[in-house]
Amino acid sequence: MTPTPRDADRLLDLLAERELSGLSPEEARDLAELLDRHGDPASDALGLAAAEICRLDLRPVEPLPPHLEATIAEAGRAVLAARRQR
Amino acid sequence: MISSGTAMPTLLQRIAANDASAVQETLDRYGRLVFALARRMSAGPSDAEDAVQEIFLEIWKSASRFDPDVAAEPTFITMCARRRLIDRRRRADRRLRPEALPAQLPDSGADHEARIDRSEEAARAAEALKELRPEQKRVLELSIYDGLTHQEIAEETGLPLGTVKTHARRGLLRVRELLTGATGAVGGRGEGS
Repeated sequence: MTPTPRDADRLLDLLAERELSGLSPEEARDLAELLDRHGDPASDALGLAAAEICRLDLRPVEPLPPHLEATIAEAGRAVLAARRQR
Repeated sequence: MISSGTAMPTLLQRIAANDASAVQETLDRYGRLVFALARRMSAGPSDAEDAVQEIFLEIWKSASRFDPDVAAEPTFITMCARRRLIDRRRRADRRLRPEALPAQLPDSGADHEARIDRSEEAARAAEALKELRPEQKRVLELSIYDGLTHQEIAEETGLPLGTVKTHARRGLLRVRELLTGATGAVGGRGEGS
């Protein structure tokens, strides 16, 4: 369903807001409703653009602390194992 | 199109296919990227470590959402990480500025080479940013690099809040258009530069 101009504007505002400063619970509900009503109009497009810009300004930091990396890896293997059992 | 054009599955595709060997490889390749983002956008070291765990948990669970024809893997991971970090920041109801934490090592002087992942895509993003109108570029930089809310940007720049929002969304759309060659990926009035 093609959004009305008003819905399209609201959708864009919410998508941009989500990627830049986040949404309040009410705004998140609004966005979910609009996406439900009008489908997914490439809703990651703005997030990917923000990600590209963000990466330009990142410089290397130290690697993950070993204890943190081990915890994350263990969680990852657990998620995959649980999925395999389904 | 971003697709590598090869039949080799990406790391996220391997995660989605339950290839456990891809877990460590993903951490090796993207651990520093996610850690750098978390350090930049978190209140302190402990908060950053919690955030990194949350981000990777989401990556393990939602790897199947990644589409190599839509974005490069580091871009997708950065998007997921940013969304999670923005949500955490919002939940904590505190604004975090880059200087709140020593998020980055001192610049080596070899500016571009020192940054993370100076891929061709990143170079194109830099070019895209240069193509924006100055006011769009300024709003996006204040938001993405300095962590200001739209309201704070309005106060900093003296622009009306609605104008700030318009610059933000048009700027983001324009960058995406320039990166993908797409136009009108998302509807709405008068988008474009």
